[in-house]
Amino acid sequence: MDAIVRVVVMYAFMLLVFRLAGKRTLGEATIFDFLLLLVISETTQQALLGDDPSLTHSMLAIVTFLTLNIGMSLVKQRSPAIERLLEDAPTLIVRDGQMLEDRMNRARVDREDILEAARRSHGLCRFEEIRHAVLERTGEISIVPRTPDG
Amino acid sequence: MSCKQVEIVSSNPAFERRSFAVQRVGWCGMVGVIMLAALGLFGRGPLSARSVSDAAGDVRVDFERFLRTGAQHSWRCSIGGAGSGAQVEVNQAYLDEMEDVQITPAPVRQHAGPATVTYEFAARPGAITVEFRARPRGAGTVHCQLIVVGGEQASRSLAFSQFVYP
Repeated sequence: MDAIVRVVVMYAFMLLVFRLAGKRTLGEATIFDFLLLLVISETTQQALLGDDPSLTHSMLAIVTFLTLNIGMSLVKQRSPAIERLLEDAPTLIVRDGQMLEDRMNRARVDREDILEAARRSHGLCRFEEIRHAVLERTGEISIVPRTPDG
Repeated sequence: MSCKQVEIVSSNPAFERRSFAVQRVGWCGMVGVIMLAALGLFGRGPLSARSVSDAAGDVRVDFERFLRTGAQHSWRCSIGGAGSGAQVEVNQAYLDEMEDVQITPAPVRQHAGPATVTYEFAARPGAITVEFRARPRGAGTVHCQLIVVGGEQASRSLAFSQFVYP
């Protein structure tokens, strides 16, 4: 019982905190982001397991986490409004080669991030070769390159 | 995507259907496990809470039926009318299965016999409630046998079993 309550509270808390932190927080993980993730997981582990090191408790916590996640995915599948609320929506940050700076600032994305995504995904080197860029819900930047006909 | 590519990606629809069906059954199983856990099948909860008492109802032990290895649990022994103090004798075999044993209130004296350990508690007005906290060392069933001295009658014997999950 205790294990279930801890997991439900921690799941809800992480959902809220990561939603508030925004898409870019761990989407494109730097080494520091990765370290942060490790520290968070370590802290979460302590909060979840407390002083109960038993196999049963760990398995129960894992089952509860996965069931919550499956439940949430089913809810999100049935309700786009809840999906938007929990996972945000994709954000257009470059339209027809024009940076939408207001949105970029709010999403904490800069020109270098877009160029990096363009290099990685399409091997593009110049900003002029980008037609659209979208900050996805996962925190990744998708690039739509310009075609030869514009 | 051409039809040929679709065929390659999804080459075994019967297997996929079976796989999804097994997944759904698994989800229901997981929900079942959580509900049973909430009810106390793996620890604290209504399914786990048990009590035993002597014939006169003078001594009562509230304990948990299901424990987990290494996780602290407790049982409480209430001894009615123990104005002149009380003694609780616990079988050594049970204590051997436990670690980090803590007893509240602290016994004024304790002594070990050949197969038991006896804890003596000071007199106090009304009933004495002794709380025994410990962590099971390993999985399996443990049997606790108590002999309680104090209250109206000379001595009473109570026994209970607990199952320890790994």
